[in-house]
Amino acid sequence: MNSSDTCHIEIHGQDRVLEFAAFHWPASGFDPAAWPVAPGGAIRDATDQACLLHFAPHRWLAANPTNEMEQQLDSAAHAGAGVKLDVTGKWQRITITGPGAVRLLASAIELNATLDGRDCAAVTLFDCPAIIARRNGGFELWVQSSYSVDFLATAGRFRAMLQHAHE
Amino acid sequence: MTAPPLRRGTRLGSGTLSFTFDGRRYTGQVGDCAASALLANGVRLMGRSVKYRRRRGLLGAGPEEPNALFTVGTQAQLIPNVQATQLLLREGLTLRSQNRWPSLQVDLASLLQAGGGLFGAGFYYKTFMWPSWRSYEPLIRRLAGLGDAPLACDLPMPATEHLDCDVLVTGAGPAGLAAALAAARAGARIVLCESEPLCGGELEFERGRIDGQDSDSWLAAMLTELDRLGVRVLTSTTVVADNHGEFIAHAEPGGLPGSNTVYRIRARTMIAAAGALERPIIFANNDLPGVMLLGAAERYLARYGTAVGRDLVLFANHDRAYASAQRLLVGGMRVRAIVDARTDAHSAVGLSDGNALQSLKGSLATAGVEILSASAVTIAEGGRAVRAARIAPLASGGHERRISCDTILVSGGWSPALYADLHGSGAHAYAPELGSFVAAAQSDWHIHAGAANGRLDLAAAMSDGHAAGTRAAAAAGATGDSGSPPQARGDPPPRLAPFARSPCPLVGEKRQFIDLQNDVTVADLRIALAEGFSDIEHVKRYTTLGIGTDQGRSSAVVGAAILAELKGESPAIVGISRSRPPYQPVTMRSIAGFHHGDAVMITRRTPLHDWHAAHGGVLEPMGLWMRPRFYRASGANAADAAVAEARRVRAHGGIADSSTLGKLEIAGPEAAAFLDFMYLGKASTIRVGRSRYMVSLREDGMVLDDGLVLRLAEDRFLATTSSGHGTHMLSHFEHYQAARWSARGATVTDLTDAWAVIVAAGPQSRSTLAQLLGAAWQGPLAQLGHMDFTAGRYAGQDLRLLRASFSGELAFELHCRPAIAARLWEALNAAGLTPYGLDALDILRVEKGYLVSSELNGQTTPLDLGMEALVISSSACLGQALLDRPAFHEASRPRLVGLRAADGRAPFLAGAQLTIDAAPTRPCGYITSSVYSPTLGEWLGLALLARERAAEGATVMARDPLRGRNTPVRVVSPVHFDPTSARMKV
Repeated sequence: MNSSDTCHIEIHGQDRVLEFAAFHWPASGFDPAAWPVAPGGAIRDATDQACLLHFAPHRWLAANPTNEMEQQLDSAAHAGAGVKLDVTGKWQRITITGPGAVRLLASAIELNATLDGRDCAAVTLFDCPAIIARRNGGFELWVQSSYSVDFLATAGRFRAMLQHAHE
Repeated sequence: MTAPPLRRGTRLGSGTLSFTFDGRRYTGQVGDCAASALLANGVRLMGRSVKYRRRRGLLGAGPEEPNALFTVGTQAQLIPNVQATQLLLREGLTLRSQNRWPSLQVDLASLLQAGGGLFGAGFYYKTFMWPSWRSYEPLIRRLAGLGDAPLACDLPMPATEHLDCDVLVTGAGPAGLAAALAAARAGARIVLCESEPLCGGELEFERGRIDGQDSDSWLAAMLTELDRLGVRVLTSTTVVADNHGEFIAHAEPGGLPGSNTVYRIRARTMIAAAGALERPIIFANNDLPGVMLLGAAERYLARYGTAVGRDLVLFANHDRAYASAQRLLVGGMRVRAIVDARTDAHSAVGLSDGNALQSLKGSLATAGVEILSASAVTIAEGGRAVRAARIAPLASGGHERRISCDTILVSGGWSPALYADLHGSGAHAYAPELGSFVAAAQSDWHIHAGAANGRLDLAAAMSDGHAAGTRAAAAAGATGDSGSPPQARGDPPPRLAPFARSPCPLVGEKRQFIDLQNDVTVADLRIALAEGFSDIEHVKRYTTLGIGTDQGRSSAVVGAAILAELKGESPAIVGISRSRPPYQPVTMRSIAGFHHGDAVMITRRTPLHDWHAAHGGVLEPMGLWMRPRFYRASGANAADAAVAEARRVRAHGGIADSSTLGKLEIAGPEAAAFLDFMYLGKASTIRVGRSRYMVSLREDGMVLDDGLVLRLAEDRFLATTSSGHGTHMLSHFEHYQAARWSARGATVTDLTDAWAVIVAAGPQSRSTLAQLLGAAWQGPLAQLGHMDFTAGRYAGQDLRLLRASFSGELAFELHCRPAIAARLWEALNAAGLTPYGLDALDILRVEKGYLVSSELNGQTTPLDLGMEALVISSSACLGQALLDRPAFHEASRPRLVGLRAADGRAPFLAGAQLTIDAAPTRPCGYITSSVYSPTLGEWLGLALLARERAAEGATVMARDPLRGRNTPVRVVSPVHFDPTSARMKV
């Protein structure tokens, strides 16, 4: 096996996840410094994990939000900018790391084009709806929970096949 | 068989490999393709034609090969129809010829060719009609087809890679390389696909000079620079389809799936530089083994060191034949004659390098090559293979000649490769100087270059490639300097005179083969015209011209030219037929990708999936979801289990997993108005804490879906959708939110996976929940009215309790977070509520007359389904205006009714047609759902019946010819059980 083709797929526990949907953009109630304003933008925590992702137009994902972030979303909602929704359970967080991560995900999408100038995007990976974000040494995914078993099975098949091809 | 006169080794490697062909062991050299290895072993018979089973040898040396198709591999890794010319030899390869029985040498079905005169185009359509097609089908199916489809497949999954680029260049010949270099220098991102294992294309044969270097040196420097510029070069990779900007390319190193990769390439511009395909000239018996394309002979010699024969006759209509003859002579073959369909005057006089050509002719004559101008090969003689060529002058009065030879090499010119353009209905124009078609109008996103653009000489091809690369880069926004075009010098332009077929008496046209794979002859084209099929597309379908695995590469243009001759029209008027992707054969396994075996379709799983699977749940797909149909513990078979489960729910209670229901949260100050628009009935009048059954319509007034809408707060609603329609309803809502409600105060969010739903139904459901959920829920459980809901906490998580029923029993929906779904489910089960599946739910809902997808089938209006009250209550929802169409109010429109057997006992099944009486008259309706009701002890049904026949008490006939049943049934109310709903409102 070529070490450049290895990658690690890790499934994480169910964190609290919120979505924020804006009625229109730009809107009052948004602090541009605290929000990823441009679609595809993301704010990261100290561990480089994306925690507030502008994953689709007018729509943000807050993964495992801090109190401060939740207050920020509440403020925006109270200001009439949009609505905050608790979607805990909707998304399964998965990380794919290692030198082979790009090649594995290239089996499903063209990563460079998808994430060109962006930190995150809503995509379809192996027929499964997901949100993808870059992180150090790999990618962070939020795959819609009901699809996650099949997603992992398909990604695992591609990973095995790619590694076998280089043995 | 002719022994090969020389074997110099292949260009691609050295060493020896062994392989078998039809069970016999052979050896070849590393770098050989299967065709070259067999040729080197003296094998010339490589296949049989599809229709007449005529003996066939190699025609070409590339993807144009129509004859040498092999079945490769064994058992579950069997692949039929692999072109021997594309298949790289590997150790232990097992090859088998096709379309023969019992052997390639002796094929009993070849006796069919004795009836060649009978089996012309259209023979099958006209002949196999009496007593019926079925009488002949088994035999014809055994004889027909190309190879045997494998009965199992164990081919590995192909790798997939998605690529994005500014410019995709297909073909790494001189023009493609020049295009890629120009575009890359300008700063564009390039992917370059080459179907051959090595780049260079015709530079392999044509020894030109480019930018002052020999072609090999230039090629090496070029590839280095492309690498430096970041060009992604994919060799052994063929673009097989153009899906409107997404190009599918298959990499099959060695020409055989195994370690293959499917590339999905999104490109802003595609430069088609796939070269041109040499086409044959048609003459009688031109299908004999030993008749080959001239360029193929050169390729076998240059690349594989293999001579295609000893004594050659060349038959062409252009100047290049003379240079080719010289190279073949140098290669050790004896060229007996060059038969040139042109006159001397046409080929030399007035041309700038006419002297060079005359000099070449002189040198060939000195070497013993006879040059016959204004002549044509009229017949290839020989039984099993070519023995001689009969040659006649084209002008009247000359004498026919016979020259002994073992190989006739033909070249009727080159046809630009236009596959993708023809598929996309791109405009094409006839170019008389080529005798073929070129792309007429070329957009910035689809450019042809080089030979694919009709530029057949090296200098023009490279200049054209450079211009195409520059243009494509500019179109992609790359503004760098693309440099100056390469200065090249190679063989002069071929200067051909179009010549498609040799003169032939009418009777001989049955042996003038145009499409070798499908045995389409000139006589077949005449028949097609006589039958009235004059358009090129109709002729293609009637005669099967060009529909084989080779996609008409060797036959389409020449077929069009001959059709033009027979019609007395110009080829420009006749045109050329379209090609279809894949332009190169690919395995079904490659097309399937990861959608294979268990992964044939992606599936969605509820949080309780594992519980169902572990407890005997028989899961079946509903849309993408997997849902339990019944539980094995409930009965010996599906029917018994469903009846037992339904009976338990009515008698005591049960639980069902309804997590698959779509759940859309609509929020914002205008959420109510949005839902008033999306649903029949008024969501805005629902009180907070209440829910309502609502129906959404399509734009045309047909019912799209139904479900409950819960008002969570003044500005928040939860709309549930049916399981199968969940994703459709989401996109439907999102479309109208974006298109009609953009920037207004309403958002749509899919919460389907955020909430699991457990239904507890039956007389004991309330008491069981009270016992389980604890004191905090006692009050709400006692006070919740029908269609009310409340929210709270259970096990530290959110829980919503909705009193609603789809079974006709007292029932509650528990909307909980997925994390506690299994715990809640197991607790309910332990408390005595056993699970029931979809089959039991079907029984319960048909008893109550509730609808599912059989009735909401996209062809029913709310008026058909008895929802007049909903229509009246609505103001102006989507689709409502069209409900006023007169056609929706006619007596023939369907009406939802209930059915019971007239005798109270006989079964009847969904799908049966309803007629007025037992006679097979026009149906007046059909049964949408039927169940055996354990509660009522008889079969019940729902049906859509013409309104004029839908009066309760009427009797109609349920005709079920597929199952051989005719059952008189009585029209009743759709609500078979508990019409006052007393049971669910307790």
